[in-house]
Amino acid sequence: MDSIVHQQYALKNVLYAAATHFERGKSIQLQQFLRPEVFAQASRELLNANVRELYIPDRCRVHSPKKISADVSGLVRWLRSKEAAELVSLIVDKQVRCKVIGIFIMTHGDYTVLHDQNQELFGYDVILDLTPDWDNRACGYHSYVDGNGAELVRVAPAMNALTIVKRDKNAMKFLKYVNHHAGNDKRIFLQARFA
Amino acid sequence: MNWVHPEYLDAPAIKTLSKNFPKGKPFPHMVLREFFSPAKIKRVREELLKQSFEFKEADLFRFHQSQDISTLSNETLKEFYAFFSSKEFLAYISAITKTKVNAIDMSGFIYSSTDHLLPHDDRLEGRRIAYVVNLSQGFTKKDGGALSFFETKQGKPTKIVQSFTPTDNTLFLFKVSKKSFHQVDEVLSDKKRVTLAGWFHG
Repeated sequence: MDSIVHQQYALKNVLYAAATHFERGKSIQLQQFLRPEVFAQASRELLNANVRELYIPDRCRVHSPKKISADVSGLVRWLRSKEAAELVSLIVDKQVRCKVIGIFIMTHGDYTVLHDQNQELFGYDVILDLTPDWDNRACGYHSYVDGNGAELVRVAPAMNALTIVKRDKNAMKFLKYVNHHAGNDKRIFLQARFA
Repeated sequence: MNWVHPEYLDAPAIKTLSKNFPKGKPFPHMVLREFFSPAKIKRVREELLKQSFEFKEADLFRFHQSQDISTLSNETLKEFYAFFSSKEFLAYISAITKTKVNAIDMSGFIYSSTDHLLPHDDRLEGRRIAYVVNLSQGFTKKDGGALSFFETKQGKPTKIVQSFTPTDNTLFLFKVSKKSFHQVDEVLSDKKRVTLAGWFHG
């Protein structure tokens, strides 16, 4: 953990404060999460990665890397590690571990919509944001909504942040359409489900 | 029927339209350009733009929408709504689409830069024919905002096979079915895509 995560997140008092915040809001964003050099390297590699497109018009258009480098593999391994499980468990006050991980590189025109088959089981979404630069007018945010479509949580792209969101049974999620303000920028993130 | 250009109203025209409508690909549709009396539809556009529009955003869309046009007090819009929902016009739409319709709903929409409507099929109980009265001015392909139709394979939309750049005074009609997947492409410029749209019910 020492070689990947910023040292401030090794401090118990920081994690307890995060847990208190999470208990109140059911979501939290940990800023400057990775060590700067780890973030910069992984972000740069994914920015330049060759991508494959998944386009199911009535459900989604998303991109993911065809291959991942050793540095990005290191992040995936960390999310699956005992250390990550302990950090997330401490914050959400429940024993959890990583179940699924995806890597996404969102570009202009990408989206997901609310769809029964897009919904994962409930638990905790953990989003590690590797986006290097983003104009928030471009959207591309995660939106969690209730059964009536009312927004519960919005996770805007944030450079080098780890966001944890509690998924209730009724909460559904979509990624808002990335519009032309994105230009050639890419929203890059690893998304894991902990349960 | 003095709202409609006379060339769309004679018997041979109606016969031709009704013959062509079901042949539309990837699903039955038609595009009727310069459909309305230019002076009358110009007034409709002007009065529509004076109404209040509410911002709407969800996973599928982002645009501004007016109130239900039937509830507005504006005389020009009331007159247009009365014509569009008249027995005579419903009979005309039934004839050219060979689909029995007996009621409408109608709202105004403004799509500005970044606004969009993602792929969907419009299916809901009672909807027979979807329509768009396009009142957008000065659009070219690079402005976006096109109405795009998807080809379907095994009931699933696969790719866009038809796109219509917004043009003023144009009526789009298409049959609502499990194949009628369509979208409104993102508006890419500062132009306003202005429409009155809804469904003919039956």
